[in-house]
Amino acid sequence: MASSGHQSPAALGHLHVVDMSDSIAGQYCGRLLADHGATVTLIEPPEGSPIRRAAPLSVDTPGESLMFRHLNAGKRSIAIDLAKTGAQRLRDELMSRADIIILPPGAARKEFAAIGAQTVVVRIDDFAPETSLGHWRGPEIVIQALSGMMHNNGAHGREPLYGYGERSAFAAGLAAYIGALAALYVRPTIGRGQDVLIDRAETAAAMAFPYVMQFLYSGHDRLRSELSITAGQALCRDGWVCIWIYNFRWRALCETLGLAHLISDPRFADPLTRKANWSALFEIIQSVVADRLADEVVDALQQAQVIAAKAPGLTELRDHPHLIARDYWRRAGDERILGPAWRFSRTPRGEIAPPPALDDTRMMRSAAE
Amino acid sequence: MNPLPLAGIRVVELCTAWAGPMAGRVLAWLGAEVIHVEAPTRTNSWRINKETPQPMNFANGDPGARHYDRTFLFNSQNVNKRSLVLDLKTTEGRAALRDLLAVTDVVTCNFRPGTLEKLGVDYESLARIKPDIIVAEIPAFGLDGPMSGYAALGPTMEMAAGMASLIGYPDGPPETTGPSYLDPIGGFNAAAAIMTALMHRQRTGEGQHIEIPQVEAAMQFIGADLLLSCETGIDIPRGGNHRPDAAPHDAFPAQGVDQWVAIGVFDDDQWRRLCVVIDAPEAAHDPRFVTHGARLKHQREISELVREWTRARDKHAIADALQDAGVPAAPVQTPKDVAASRHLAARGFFDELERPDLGRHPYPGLPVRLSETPGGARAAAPAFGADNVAILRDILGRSDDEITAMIASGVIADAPKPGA
Repeated sequence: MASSGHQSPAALGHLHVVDMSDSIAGQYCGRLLADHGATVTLIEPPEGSPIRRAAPLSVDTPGESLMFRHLNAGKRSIAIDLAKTGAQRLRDELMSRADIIILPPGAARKEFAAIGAQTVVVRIDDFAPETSLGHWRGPEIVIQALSGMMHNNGAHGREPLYGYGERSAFAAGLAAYIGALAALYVRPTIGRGQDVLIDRAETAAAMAFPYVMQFLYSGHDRLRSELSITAGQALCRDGWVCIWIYNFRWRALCETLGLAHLISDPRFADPLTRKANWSALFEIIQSVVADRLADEVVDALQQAQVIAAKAPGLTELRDHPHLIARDYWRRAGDERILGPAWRFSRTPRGEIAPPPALDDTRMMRSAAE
Repeated sequence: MNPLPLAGIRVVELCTAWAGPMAGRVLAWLGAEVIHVEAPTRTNSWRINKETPQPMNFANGDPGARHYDRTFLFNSQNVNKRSLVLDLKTTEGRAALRDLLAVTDVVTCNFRPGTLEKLGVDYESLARIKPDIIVAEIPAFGLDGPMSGYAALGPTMEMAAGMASLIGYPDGPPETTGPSYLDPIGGFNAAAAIMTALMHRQRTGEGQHIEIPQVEAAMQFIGADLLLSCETGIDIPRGGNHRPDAAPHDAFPAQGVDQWVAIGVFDDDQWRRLCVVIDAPEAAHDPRFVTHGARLKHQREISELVREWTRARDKHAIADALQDAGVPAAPVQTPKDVAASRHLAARGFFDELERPDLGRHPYPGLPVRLSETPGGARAAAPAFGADNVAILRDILGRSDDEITAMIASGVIADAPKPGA
């Protein structure tokens, strides 16, 4: 990307953050803050954050949670046993100096006398406690089912599919990051910090709103059987390819795939008939790409400005030429970590420290002494 | 009353469809003035201007004479914004854009890399006339690298990010999820990056150029799985709704056509509670199901047992009963269900907005909730070119005669050209 000619200190290098969240969403918010230079201290119980034991676990480093590494690289850790004398004072001292405190679900500013008026408090709940679903349990499949997203997924006649992983937690962490920075941005103007309250269920719904809006506008309650997206997956010799058939690129698609005869085929003459005969169309496309390499098909289509992409497995991404060319993969100490989510000309993400050992600040203190 | 966080920040949006406008929507929610720029020769694809209008896509089911102003897609995504329609193929149109950007804080662009250069408004050019400007480009694959010229949409980005390879029936292809899940994620990533740059600018006075490669940004969401596969060299197989830490963990049929309820059992206690609710007390002690490991091995039998109970019952009632008993469950909600969600209503998720030509409708909100400076939806999405005159006059200081000439020559327009 274009360089500004000089680089500046990290964008958030002046901030102190205390992460007490114990959740994927909260720790992801903290990780983003650490990525941009904030000093983020993870306060853990003596046995460590539960995320330290979360799957998947490393094969190369037995006992290490890769989820913990992903969420907590760049932070430091302090273990506090509140049953011990002086522990609360230590915690309060950290909290009193913080610009941002990420609380665990359900906790509130008023429970902590040490939180100052200038501090921005972030909390991410599955369901906001004051709502009627405040007592509900919200694993990922529950959140996705409620959001309206799951209703779009999978084959009609079969069970709808949830989107793998913990995506609503990551999205909520991202929303929390935006909210925290917005609160800091306005702090000089209003003269104080404030609370940023993120609800995972609401966040997930905000990522799936278009068909809800369609219902609100026209009363149309979209069925899963409706083909609204003119895209499909075809299996090439070495992998799957998603092809998006925009109406205005129909001719280009046919010509690129050697299917020029389809342009005049009455079954596919216009967008509506193409939708009506979608299965037949995709069978034909499947037949012509079956013996071709996925990357070649994608490249040929993209050259013709037809949108297509291969579905690489995760192992393929490790050595993917595009990611390698962009110097994507990085190291935190000896460990692999993902590259930055965003790239900045003046304040790029710098070196990231490895995820902290439990209570690494104590070790640092000892070393200093 | 406190000012909104981004009051006084002007954003110009050179974007189409979902991801780019989503970023602007977040910034507008937080108080920024966001100007959505389109060309009369190329409308935002979310205006669905190139397709034969179908009533279901428009306000009150009526395309009307200006159907491009009435689509649920564009109007959901562009609340709180202003519309400027400039013909950027003309010298006057490009000059007006440059003048506008000279008094702008943030520029966003989600077209292919190189678009800003072609328009003469790339970061380097803009920084010469406004050193503190922030330019955020939101390409799918980044600004460089062998795939940087590839175009993409949410589903193809979900494929490219490796996510789709993890989603699907065990006997089926990789699936994309929707609607177009990675688009709003791209928008949120862009908004987060812009907030980061604004923080830096507030402290130092420095602007900068930001790149938000949407596919790479989305990979963060499966980061731990990526690290595992990088270590092992083994791809994670698609397993439908199954996951290793829960059983059952699936969607089960409920009363009605294509109605489903999602249920997940993560420990022995939840299993015992489920058995009570579905009136299968013997299953709680059945050796095939009594431990998590045993349940993982016998998911088919468990599914049959649960399905027998759910299939004739209402999905909402099932979820309420199970959640009240401490078992994670939820109805798989249709758009109508989400619109009626009591949880979202309690959060104030929907704001009613009115525009004379559309009428009054509820609009979905955003999840970023600040206690002292709450954002919100303040104005319905603008009609095509609705703010042309006001922007040219009030921001750019163009005279009435100049504006009249721009209208006459088609440099600004309030209707798309045919085929746009």
